[in-house]
Amino acid sequence: MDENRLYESQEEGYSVCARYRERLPDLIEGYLDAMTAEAIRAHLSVCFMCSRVYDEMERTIKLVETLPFVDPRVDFGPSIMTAISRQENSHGPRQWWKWRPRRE
Amino acid sequence: MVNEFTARENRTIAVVMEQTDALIVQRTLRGELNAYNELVQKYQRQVYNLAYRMLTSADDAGDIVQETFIRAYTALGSFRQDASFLTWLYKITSNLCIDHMRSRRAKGALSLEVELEEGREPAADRSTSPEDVVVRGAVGEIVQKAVMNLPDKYRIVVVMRHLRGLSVEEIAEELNLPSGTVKTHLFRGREMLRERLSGVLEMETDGRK
Repeated sequence: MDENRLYESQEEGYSVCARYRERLPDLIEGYLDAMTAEAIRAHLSVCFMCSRVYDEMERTIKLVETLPFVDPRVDFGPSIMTAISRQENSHGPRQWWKWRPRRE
Repeated sequence: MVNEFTARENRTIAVVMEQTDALIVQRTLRGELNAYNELVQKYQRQVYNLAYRMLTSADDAGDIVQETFIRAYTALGSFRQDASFLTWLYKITSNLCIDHMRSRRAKGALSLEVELEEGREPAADRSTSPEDVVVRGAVGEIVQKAVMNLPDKYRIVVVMRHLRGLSVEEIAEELNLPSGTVKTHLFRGREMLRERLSGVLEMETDGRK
């Protein structure tokens, strides 16, 4: 599809596309009012290049959000629990109740 | 068989998990230290991944995991159950990561604050081609590398938005920045990722044809 077919000149087409593309992140985030969002969607339905950019933006977000977790090389549990026990014990057994997690 | 839950079932699971966490917190507050280890075992992976993606160093992320759980234990009494325990842990982790980045930059030329507020535009990294994707291995690794190579100011907001699921306004509040600045960093960071992941996106597009 010719991306500029709706416009008088190529330059006009580019500047119109540039204005729409500036708003694509806001469309993705849902920041636009219904009228503006609809106008951009209408443009996307006829502009191959802008709809490709929009599609790539959405897929980039999906790639980041579905990025698998990496596994830590060690179990941090023992060292954390040792540090907490040491912190409590260092204040002496008679004051143990003072070093429980603070209740507010 | 893939285990898929409906949205309603997922909400139920989340509520049950939050109630379970609340019970474990109560047991810990009553002095049952071992109960806290259950929370460590349950959430250390999530906390590690948040720290790793914010700091891009496995060693630093490990230190932050330990510091997060020790701080959380000390402040457990102030944990309000209006948010989930993980949300609370994530907030502690983010704050520690940002403090860590500040101290890491203490001797550097540009402070984190300056970079977050304005900063220099980072040098463009090369994008991937579909051939790179095939040669350099799994898509996940390429995406991971692209996120890790983002400049700090962009990576922080991308991770907070898309890993922690915070809104722009929530990020702005945590980072003490105007919402407009957060939006700009978020959008520029995502654009940089789109450019760097062009090979992956192209390969996906070809696969869909």
